[in-house]
Amino acid sequence: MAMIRGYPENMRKSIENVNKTRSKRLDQIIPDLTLAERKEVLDGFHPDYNPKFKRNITWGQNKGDNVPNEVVDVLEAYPMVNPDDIDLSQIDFDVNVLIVGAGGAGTSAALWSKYAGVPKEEILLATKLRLGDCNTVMAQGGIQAADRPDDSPIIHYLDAIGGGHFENNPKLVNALVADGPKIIKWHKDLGMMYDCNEDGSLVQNPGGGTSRNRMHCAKDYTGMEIFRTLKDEIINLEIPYLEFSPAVELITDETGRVAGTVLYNIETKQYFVVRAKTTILTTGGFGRLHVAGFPTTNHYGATMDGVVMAYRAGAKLRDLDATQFHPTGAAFPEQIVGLLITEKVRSLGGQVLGKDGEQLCYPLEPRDVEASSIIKCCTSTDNYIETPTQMRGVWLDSPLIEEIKGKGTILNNLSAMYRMMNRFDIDITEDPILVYPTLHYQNGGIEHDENCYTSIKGLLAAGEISGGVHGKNRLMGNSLLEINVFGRRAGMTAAKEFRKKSTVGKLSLTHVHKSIKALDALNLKDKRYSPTILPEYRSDAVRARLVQLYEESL
Amino acid sequence: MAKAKPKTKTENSTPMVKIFIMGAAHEVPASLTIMKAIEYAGFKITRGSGCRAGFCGACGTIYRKEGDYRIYAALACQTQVEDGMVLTQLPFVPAPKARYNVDELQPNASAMLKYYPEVARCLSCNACSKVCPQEIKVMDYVQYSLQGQIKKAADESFDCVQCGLCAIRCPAEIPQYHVGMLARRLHGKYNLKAPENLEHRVKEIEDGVYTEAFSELMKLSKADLKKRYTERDFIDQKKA
Amino acid sequence: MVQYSYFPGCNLKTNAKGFEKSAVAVSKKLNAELVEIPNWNCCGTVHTMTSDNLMKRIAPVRVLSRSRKHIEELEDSPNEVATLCSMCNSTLKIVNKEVKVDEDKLSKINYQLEEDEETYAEDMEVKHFLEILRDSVGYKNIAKKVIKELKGIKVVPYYGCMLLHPEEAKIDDEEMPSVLEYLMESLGAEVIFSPLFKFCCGSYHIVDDETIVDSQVSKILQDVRVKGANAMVVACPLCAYNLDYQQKKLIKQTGEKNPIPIFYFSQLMAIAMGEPIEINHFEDHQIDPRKLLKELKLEG
Ligand SMILES: Cc1cc2nc3c(=O)[nH]c(=O)nc-3n(C[C@H](O)[C@H](O)[C@H](O)COP(=O)(O)OP(=O)(O)OC[C@H]3O[C@@H](n4cnc5c(N)ncnc54)[C@H](O)[C@@H]3O)c2cc1C
Ligand code: SF4
Ligand code: SF4
Ligand code: FES
Repeated sequence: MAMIRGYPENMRKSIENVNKTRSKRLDQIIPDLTLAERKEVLDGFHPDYNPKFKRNITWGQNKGDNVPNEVVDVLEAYPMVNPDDIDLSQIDFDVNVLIVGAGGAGTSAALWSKYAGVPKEEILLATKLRLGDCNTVMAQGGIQAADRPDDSPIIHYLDAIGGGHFENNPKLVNALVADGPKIIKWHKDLGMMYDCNEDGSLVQNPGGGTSRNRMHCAKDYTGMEIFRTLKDEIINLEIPYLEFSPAVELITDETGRVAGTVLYNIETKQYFVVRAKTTILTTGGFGRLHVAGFPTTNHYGATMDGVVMAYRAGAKLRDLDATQFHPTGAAFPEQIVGLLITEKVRSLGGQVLGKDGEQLCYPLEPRDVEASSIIKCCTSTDNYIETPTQMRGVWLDSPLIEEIKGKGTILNNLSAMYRMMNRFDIDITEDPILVYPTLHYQNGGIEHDENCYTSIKGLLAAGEISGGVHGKNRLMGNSLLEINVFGRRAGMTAAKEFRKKSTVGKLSLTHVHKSIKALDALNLKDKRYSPTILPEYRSDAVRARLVQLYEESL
Repeated sequence: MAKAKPKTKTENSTPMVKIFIMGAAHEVPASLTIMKAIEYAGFKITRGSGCRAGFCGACGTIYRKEGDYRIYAALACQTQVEDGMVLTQLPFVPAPKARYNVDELQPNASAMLKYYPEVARCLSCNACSKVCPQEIKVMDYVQYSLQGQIKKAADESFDCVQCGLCAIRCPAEIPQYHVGMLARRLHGKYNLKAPENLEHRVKEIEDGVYTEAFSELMKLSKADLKKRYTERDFIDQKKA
Repeated sequence: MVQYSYFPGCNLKTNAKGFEKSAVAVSKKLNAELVEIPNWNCCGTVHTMTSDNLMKRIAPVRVLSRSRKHIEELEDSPNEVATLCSMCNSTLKIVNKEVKVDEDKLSKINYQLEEDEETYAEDMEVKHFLEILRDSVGYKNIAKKVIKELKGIKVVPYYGCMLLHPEEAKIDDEEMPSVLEYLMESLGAEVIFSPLFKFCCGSYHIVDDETIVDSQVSKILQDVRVKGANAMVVACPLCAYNLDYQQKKLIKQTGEKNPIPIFYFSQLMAIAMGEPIEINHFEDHQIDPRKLLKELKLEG
């Protein structure tokens, strides 16, 4: 098929419509939906509301919760290591604070436990792949914080709790919004390059569901700027870290409290026993489980490992019935299907259009509503655009941004987006972007309180792994805030625990044995193993010929 | 170069290309990215994959093309395969990062030279810029650092994903991406000062200005909360 | 306005802000504006001359080529790159001459620069700002812009080595230079001759053996004092540094009562032309020139 500046000929026809209507749409504002209308489109089209994609958890403390099939799959799975193979008498790392998962939440927890007085030798940060493999580094749009004079933490609270369908834990929302300005201040002191206006004030953009412009950003590399700076500090402060060493199981003691983890070196395939007085789980979300068969924006290692391990140890989960699909994942070209087209495109004025070039919906609805409206268009009307590989999508009119905000806005504010599309010959200052919702965020997870204590002693949780902060739906920019707010709080809580006299008892994996028993009782048809660690992307042809060698034969 | 492996049949007739992964030939669908092609060929990647979206720099890949002497570099997750590519991923780049305390520094050339004296060795060969998958003018930001033009160094290096490809190519053995990191932190801290209203708001919150309003909000019934939510005003955004 | 594509060099940019700012300010007054090349790189310095490695010539040739491109954006700009630092001037001049005579060398270097679209076509000249002042602006025109004659300044012009040597790089007669002399006279200062006008200041020994610099500097200053001068004018940031910093140190050791402030030529021009004193960044000097200027009522 003939390609013209990145798009096949037949898609070009629809792009002409988009170009034709652009000037008319410049000042056109589509009304946003009422709460009742929101409900209707959610019920009809959001995967969360489709019983086919979900089933009940069958064992453990959240038995009966109706959650995505893929989540049940990893919870209803056997441990990937046999607990009897692990020798707990030999401790490889003996520390006070163990942090599992080095994303934004993990690195801030490590830094703040150090700031709050834990000596660096008493800290260990273990992560699955290299430092930097995480969702945090990919965040583009921004981070919310109510610091402008005509904004307030109170308004931020309302936005967050309304976006979450009033199901959030109010105490957590309070902590989230009240710590916001402090976090930005901390970041500025570390030297993060948040975008500034000429007069030195911080750039603040709108986001879906926010009633004030409070999205702070660093071009569309916000998460990268945050993460690489935190990483820089981890190295400057010489906080010990282990890469390529995912946790595969928590360790408990005879009282049932968490007392460390078993780590697994992906490369040498040996395990390590870590004893820790406090274990902070910050392993992030579940995008790579491909909930409801969707492609995802998430990083390679986003496989929900932390939730699985904590569930076996008895931690309570919440809100896993709600999954966040980002309204605008790339739908073309094929190489990048599912990757994020940041909400900032809409913050800056980009509109969502059907094939006729007319607006479909208010562009800055909360994410679940926006995503449902797009799914509705693509599944129950014929106003969608089809790609050569039969993907359906709608247009996101990026050139409009420069009409509104002037030439150069895209290169200055959306350089990652520009670069990504440009690698495939599409110039987003000239042509719109084809989008379709993509799996984005784990709204729920491990329950914790405002100091990050979970329902089990010795275990703290922070970040995307957790539930409660965002209720049933997270707003843009509240997650980058969450990981800093609760990462910080977890670090400080760990420092408080460090000062207490208590110690952990005899290390055991009893809880794993118990989980195995519970699973045995279910008589599962398929025997699965978890945590997943890494998703499987090898081709079927190769997988059909895989063979397991006996240990030490090679 | 190793001989081509027997071709594996795919059901539909997607166009295929032949690429050489660490010397071995593989037939892969032409539409794949380098990363997906490596996986398609049967590798389970542990090093060399992270965000899978062009943000983390884990997937730096170098390749040559048949009949072309040039070395190319790319992010495997962001680049489509081409027929005849001979490629390998870079699992790791040994390039130690200096340890410093930004609070004790000033945004000038002496800070840069103190921690990375090797920037003075830059030959302006531009090999680094040529290899950068983000198309950053790497040489220019190294030079700006040496010249003490910290703002320019910070801005030019901003889009760096720290893949390390530049450092591997540098005849002067400079770890450019660490140099850029230091420049950005100095610029962010000293040239882009935190605005007053931020400090003011932090203080307000610490002083408990909002405490009462919060506890009131938290006591509201769901219905009342919904009402407050629907009635909130939007002062920055145009609504219909 | 005639504009010159201007190459600052690292030293001026980092350690000698006042030298550059004053030069840029007066250049505008003289219709010979120095406009910085937006993306310049290090000139390559002395390494270029000490080794025959082509790689090391890429830096200076790239500067020439970028400056050539820069000219396209400027007004009435001659094919000249203006320098302020004697070291950069020397490096760029030597390499420029070298590649102009050695086609083979240039084509090898250009082969490396090709991909960056930065090949060099031998169509640039390297000019120290002093040469531009002398040959293009002219002393008469400089004198016309003086609004505050430098009455009472008795100044020894000091050239050091780099401006007069080697042959390929010199900007004036190596035995009887005159550019600083005429320049100072056109500003209304009294010029005093010192036979040590190109006696080496100790140069880069400042980084390995300060005692060499100390001994050179004290000889130079002694002669300046004997001759009854109250200031020195220089055109090299390294000379300025050695004469200023080491003088301060020597004064501490010897208790010498007669400090000699060291001016960059552009600073004295800026004062004579009535530029605000701040642009000279005198606070960065070890021997504060403001004391002398105040005595002579030339401050502010
Ligand atoms: C593409 C994209 C764009 C986004 N944009 C925004 C935005 O603009 N604003 C916003 O607020 N939010 C945004 N988000 C959401 C936000 O980035 C994430 O929710 C947040 O960064 C999660 O941080 P985290 O520290 O909890 O988890 P992560 O950053 O994902 O870190 C988790 C870490 O734990 C490691 N890990 C996982 N399992 C194990 C194990 N078994 N053992 C050891 N380590 C393990 C992972 O490898 C990873 O390093 C975005 C997310 C994505 C994917
Ligand atoms: S500057 Fe270096 S480390 Fe950064 S993206 Fe470019 S090549 Fe990679
Ligand atoms: S590769 Fe090294 S020497 Fe060459 S321009 Fe880049 S930083 Fe300078
Ligand atoms: S995997 Fe992160 S940049 Fe390619």
